[in-house]
Formats: sequence, structure tokens, C-alpha cells
Amino acid sequence: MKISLIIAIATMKMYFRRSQSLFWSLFFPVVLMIGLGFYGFGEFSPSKLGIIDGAKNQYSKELIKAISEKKYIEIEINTREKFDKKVLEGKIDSVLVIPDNYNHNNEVKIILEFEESKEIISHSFEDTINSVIETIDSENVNNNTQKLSSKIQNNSNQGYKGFLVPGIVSLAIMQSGILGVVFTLISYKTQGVLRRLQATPISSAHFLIGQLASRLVIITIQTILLFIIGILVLNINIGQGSILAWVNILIFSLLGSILFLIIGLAISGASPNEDYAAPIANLITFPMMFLSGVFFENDVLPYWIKIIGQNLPLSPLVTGMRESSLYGTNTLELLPEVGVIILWIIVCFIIGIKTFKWE
Amino acid sequence: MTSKEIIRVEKLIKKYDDFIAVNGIDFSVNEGEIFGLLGPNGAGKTTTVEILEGIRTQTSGEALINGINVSKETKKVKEIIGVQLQQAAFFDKLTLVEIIEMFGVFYSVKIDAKSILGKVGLQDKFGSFYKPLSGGQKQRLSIAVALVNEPKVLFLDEPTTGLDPQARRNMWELIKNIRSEGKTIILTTHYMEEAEELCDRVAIIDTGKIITIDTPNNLILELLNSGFKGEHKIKEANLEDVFLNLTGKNLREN
Repeated sequence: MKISLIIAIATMKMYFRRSQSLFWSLFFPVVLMIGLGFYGFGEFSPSKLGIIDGAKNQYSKELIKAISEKKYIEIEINTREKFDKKVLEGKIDSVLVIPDNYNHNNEVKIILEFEESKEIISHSFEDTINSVIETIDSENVNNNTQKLSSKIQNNSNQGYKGFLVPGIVSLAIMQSGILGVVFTLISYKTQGVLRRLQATPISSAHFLIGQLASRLVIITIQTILLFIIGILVLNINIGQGSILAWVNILIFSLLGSILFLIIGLAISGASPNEDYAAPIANLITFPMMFLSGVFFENDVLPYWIKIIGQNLPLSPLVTGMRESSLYGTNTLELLPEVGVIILWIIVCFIIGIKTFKWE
Repeated sequence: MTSKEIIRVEKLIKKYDDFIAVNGIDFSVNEGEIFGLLGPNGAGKTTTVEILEGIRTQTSGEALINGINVSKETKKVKEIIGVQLQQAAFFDKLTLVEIIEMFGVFYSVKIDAKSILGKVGLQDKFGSFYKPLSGGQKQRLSIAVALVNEPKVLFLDEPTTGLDPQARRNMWELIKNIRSEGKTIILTTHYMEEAEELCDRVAIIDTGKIITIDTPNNLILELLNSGFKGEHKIKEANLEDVFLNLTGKNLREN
């Protein structure tokens, strides 16, 4: 125990004395975060109007059909619950609520909901919908029964930034977990540091536990710092103000770190030198970087690639982080993601033990 | 010379797939001796030493240090030996004092890192990192680390390879000082003048077998008695003496 602690402390000292390790764990993710976040990469999709069809009758269908015929508006029909999330992510610009009692005969009130930041686009929706209503009304006996009113809400939508930051944080956990361990252990291996340790009475488990422990601390610090930078620079808010979200974030950060550290240990254990380790590490990290939903929802991928992407080890971490930080989803609902990560930890641990070589 | 036996090696064999690195080696070393293992590259010296150090396990045969079976009680043996490996490095970005203290924890001994570093002549380098040290300083740090647990037996694997003549002489003095504290030293080397200067007895190993064991003096006399004549007339000095005479014996590494 004392030996592992001493190794952990020494490893942390070495980490903070090496400037390039800080570079990899903070600078690179921060540049990605700020670069993509400010640029609003991913926000250039066509304007989208969400419709909650409360009436679901022939009249409401007629109205929706008329709106959808306007080529420049993309519409989506869905439930209140789904739209709450999509508005948060900035994927829906405004929501049109058609009331239960909608028909052409009585006086009804249709509401267009949008957030302050989407005011301009929403006004153009408003004009379009008003013209549709006028057309419908003019063909009708009872004139002017329909009224469209706007309801402006406080900004909750974080747009792409809120979606991006937890993705980048997860990516950074993977990179620090795998690459940090691989480069350190491989250099210890090739320079003979590990051989020298073998000549002392300590067991290899002491050494590996010390390594893991120090890196768990380092990655936790990295996760917290990245989120704080996200809050300060990109103005994202965490878990809709819920403290529980931070607890979830820490749980996912720890589980994710353990998983990727073990993958890192397995790679460095199985490779004799950096000529093997570097390509293996890249081969493992690269697909996850793009298929696990870090930068964009992987719905946009072709079916089979999407299925593969969903089953990679980074995916449950990205989902868990995003659910926690963007929506403040509670821990119980995230148990499937926790379970998948733990499953991966067990699988990688077993592979690691079978393939580990000290020389 | 005390005659208490501290190392005993019997019928030691180490096989790799189809290659026999050590092929039935027997020898014993007495307490307080400097015992040299000599031989060409690939002769089996390093493998033999690594079996004694508990880093490798033999295929068959037995090795005892201070009466403890190395392959059966490896951890106990590791606690009473000190090891300087041929190709080993230490953690970069830790100071020398931090490295020594860390190894102290590995052996669960309380130590004064500065006095150990002073002993090997690194008193000016307490706060430096490992990487910028010169070759000779790295070797001396390696010996300092090996002395952390006050070992009974010290293994030195080619401690002067790659050092300049000044640093080599300095290392010889250090090794003699350590011996004068009563420690037993197992030394492997390629330099015959080093073995002649330091070793009480040497074993010459080739193709995994010991060809002969004796004091350097007896081995030379034996050769001469068999009628051997050196190719060159012996001069009173050699080129190394010239070099040291011209450049001085002071260390040049700071």
C-alpha cells in the first residue's frame, strides 16, 4: 500500500514536471472545444420547426401539411418531452403547439414557442404560419377563428457547445488514459526502468496500482478543468443547475479513466517497443474519435458503421457524460451506460493480463 | 581472507527454446571477495548474474545466496542483494535524492539519501534529474541505488563500459571502497586490466560453461609456466598511462 502510494506520488510529480503532458491533456482538448464551439460547427443545419400535434385530427393534419409544403421550412412532429431535449441541444429552433381542441370552427389559439436566441428565425416561422392560417381561414366559412401567438422563453439551449463539451471531455479521458500510460510504460520498458524495478523486492502489482492511482487523479483534475473552461469560455451550463450532474460526471470520469487506463496498460504490456505500441494505440483510438459521437450524433452514420460505433468503449462514456452535463439525467437512468463500461473494463482487464510482458 | 561461503551455484542450466545460454555452471564465492565473471559477448555471464539476482529463473540447478535459495525465496534474496544492471535507467524528472528515497521505500529501510549519494561522489547533484547526468555519473547513481538496502552482495554488470579512462579509475576506487566495508562483489567485465586490478578471483566463461576459476595472478603464472610468450615485449608503460599522464586523473564530467 505504502509502496503504491509512493509510486503514485512520484508519478504525479514527474507528470507535472513534464510540460508536454499538460499540453496533451489540456491544450489540445481546449483548442478543439473553443475552436469548434465558437465556430458553431454543426449549427448550420436548415432551420427546423418542431410541431406538437395535440389534436391529431383532420384539421390539424391539414394545417401541418400546408406548413410542410413551404419548402424552406423543415418540420418534425414529436412529443413535448423529445422537443425539450432537442431545444436544449439547439436542434429545433421553435416549437408550434397545436391545441387539443383544434378545428376550423371554434376560436383556437395556436402557440409558437421559442427562446430568445432564436427570435429572428422564429419570426420568419411566425410569418409563414400566419400566411398558411390566412389561406385556410379564407377557404372557410367562419373567418378568423385561428390565432397564432408567440411565447418567448428564457434561453436554455446551449446549441452545439453544450453537445460538444462533454464529447471532448470524454475524448480527452480516452487520450490521457491510453496514450499517457502507453508512452510512459513503453519508455520505462525500453530504457530498462522496469527491469531495474524487477530487481527490487516490490511486486509488479504495486507498480501498476501506483501508476493507475496517479493517473486517476490526474484525469479527474483534467475532467473538472475542462468543464470549468467550458463554463467560463463557452457559457455552457452543467446539468441544468443540478449538483447531482457533477456527481454523475465524476462517476463517469472515474469509470472511463479506469477503462482506458486498463486498455493503455494492455497495449503497453503486449508491445515490445513504441514501433508496435504507437500504431496499436492509434488503431484503437482513431475509430472511436469519430464513431462514438464525440463531435456529432452518430445517427448520421450509415447503419452498420453506426452499430459498430455504438458498441465501442468510448460510446457509453460519451453518452453518460452528455446526458449528465447537458440534461442532468439522474444516475439510475444511466445505469445501462455504467454497466457497459464495467463490462468493457472486465474484458480489457482479462486481455491485458493474458498478454502482459515485462520485457 | 575470511572463508565463509556466501554464494553457491550448482549445475546451473538455462535453456531458451533451442539455445542453451548457461550449460551447467558451478562455483562459489566467499564473503568479502570481489569475484569476476569474464567472457566474450554471449558467453552466458549476464544470464548467470540475472539468475542470481532473481530476474530470471533457471531451467535447472540451484543458486544460493547467504544460504537462501534464489528461485524459491526470490523476494528474501532481493532484500539482501544490491544490483547494478548493464542496461537500466531510472525515472526521469525525479531528482537523485527522490530516486534514492523511493528505492528506500521499496526496501522498507530508513535512509539518508544525501549520505548515500555522497558516498559515490554525487554530492553536487542532489537536485538534478537523471537524464542530464554523464555516463559515469549515471553508473555511480546506479551503484548508489544498489547500496540503498546495505546489501551483503553487490552485483556490478560491466560498470565501466563506455567510460573514459578518468571515470574508469574513479569507478575502480569506488568499488575498492565498497569492498573495504566488507561487502561481497560480483563483477562482470570485458576489460582484463579491470579484472586484474580489482578481482580476488575470476571465472572465465565461454559458451555457457566455466573454463577456469582462480586468482588472476595464478592464471597468468599458469599460462607462463606452460611456455607461453607474449607477442610483444612488455613495456614499462602503455598508451593509457600516456593518456592519463597528459590529461590528468581528475574527473571531467561537470
